[in-house]
Amino acid sequence: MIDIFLAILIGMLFGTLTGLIPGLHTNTVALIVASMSALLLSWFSPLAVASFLVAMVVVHSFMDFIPSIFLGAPEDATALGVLPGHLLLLKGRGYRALKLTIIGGIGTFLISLVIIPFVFLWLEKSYAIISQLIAPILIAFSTLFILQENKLKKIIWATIIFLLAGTLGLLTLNYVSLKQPLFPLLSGLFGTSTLIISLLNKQKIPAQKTDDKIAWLTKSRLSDYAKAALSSLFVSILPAVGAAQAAVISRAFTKYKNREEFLVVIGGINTAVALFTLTTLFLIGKTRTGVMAVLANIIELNLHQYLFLLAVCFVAMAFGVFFSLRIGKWTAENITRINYRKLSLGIITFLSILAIWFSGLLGLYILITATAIGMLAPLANVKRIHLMACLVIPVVLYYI
Amino acid sequence: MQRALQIALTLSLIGVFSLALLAQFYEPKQIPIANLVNHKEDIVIIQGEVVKVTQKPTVNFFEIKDSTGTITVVTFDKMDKLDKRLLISVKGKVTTYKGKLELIADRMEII
Repeated sequence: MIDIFLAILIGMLFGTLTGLIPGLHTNTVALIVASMSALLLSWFSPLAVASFLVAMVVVHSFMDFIPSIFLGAPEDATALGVLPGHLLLLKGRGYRALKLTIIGGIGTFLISLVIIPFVFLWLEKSYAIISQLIAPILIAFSTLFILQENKLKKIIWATIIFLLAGTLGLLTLNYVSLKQPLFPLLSGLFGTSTLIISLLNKQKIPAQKTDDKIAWLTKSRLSDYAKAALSSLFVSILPAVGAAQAAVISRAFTKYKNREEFLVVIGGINTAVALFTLTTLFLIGKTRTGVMAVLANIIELNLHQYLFLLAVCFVAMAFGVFFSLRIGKWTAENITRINYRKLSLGIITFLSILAIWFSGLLGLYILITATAIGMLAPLANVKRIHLMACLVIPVVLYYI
Repeated sequence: MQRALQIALTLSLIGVFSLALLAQFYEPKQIPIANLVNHKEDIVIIQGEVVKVTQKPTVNFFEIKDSTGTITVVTFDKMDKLDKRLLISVKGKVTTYKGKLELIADRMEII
């Protein structure tokens, strides 16, 4: 039992690190775990290693909004949250943006626990039908998003951006061999492009307020949690669809009243996907993330172990909430003391080095191209959601 | 900002077109089946003999064997009946399914 407690603690610490360091993903740690599994399993039980992985993923899902909001350096799951979060940061409300994602995470986690028993009754029967619907849904809603740009000039720009991002995604994911293809692709489209636009605009980060109170048990919040939970459930059972696409689908099904609601939902999706991918693995044996693939190789879950891992998720959620609030508050209070221009340049350099480290010079090339495409959306004054074509087009082609 | 937009669009077009050109000429390495374990998520080429064929309406499975081992190749493309004992070359992505290695075929050629 001590080995399990130790594994949970280490997992939560790793989740903190992977969440806070831009570019370091839980899948990367999971791959290291997979390569060392023989050694690890001689020290720890399979359930302890599984607990490590689950605790890491849940804590990561709270922490990774800190770099994405305060530094504009997202990962796949938080990519769409960058702009709303960054805009609140520029209004001195970066900590509020973080709190909204955390509230979303807690609320959606709790609602997801209520939904899970129904998933048990429904999942196996519905799986085949849903997987046939994903391509038409993504095509229909991508078209809708483009047409939602209200002027012809903007519709043309949105189409150009959609096609460029989609082609880049397709080439990167399907036609050239890279170790971590998503890293340069998403870092460029959503991270370095945001940082360069900030540098071009000579934006100054204002002093941040950290005393905002946010109601989290209102009727509209409950509806946000439900939206996030259902979107996460929907995409957690589909192959080749992850948290980023969950946000796309959630946006397709619901219209957000404001960017705060969007942050709540994306925060919720990010946490609930971790919960539902575990459930999907247990119920239908399908792995939907790199971490779950490693977990499936280490342990074949029975009901008791699955329930134990749900409890681990709960503990990790409490840890993730507490420490992401503390770290986020410290960051908000100190961000004006930092030279944001130097910090942005430092992060761009860091992401470029990581792109070379993970994916070689070709990775750097993709990062530069993706950055240029990512800059087009704000410069042409159209929504960034069209950039998600980088994942939507490969997913649609996978299904048709 | 108009100039920044022009530069970004030019860079985007150059980047995507040159990557498309690169992908045309990009030929992954041929890997012995036993070594595929070191190439997870890579696009590779394997060559071997078809030893088992399972063709379904939406998906086809083939077992390919070379001198070092055997692997299941999966393709979702519709295709004519494939006979056992044929020597084929397959380009595809190495993935894992239920702990076992698989190759998701992108291109198959009889050699």
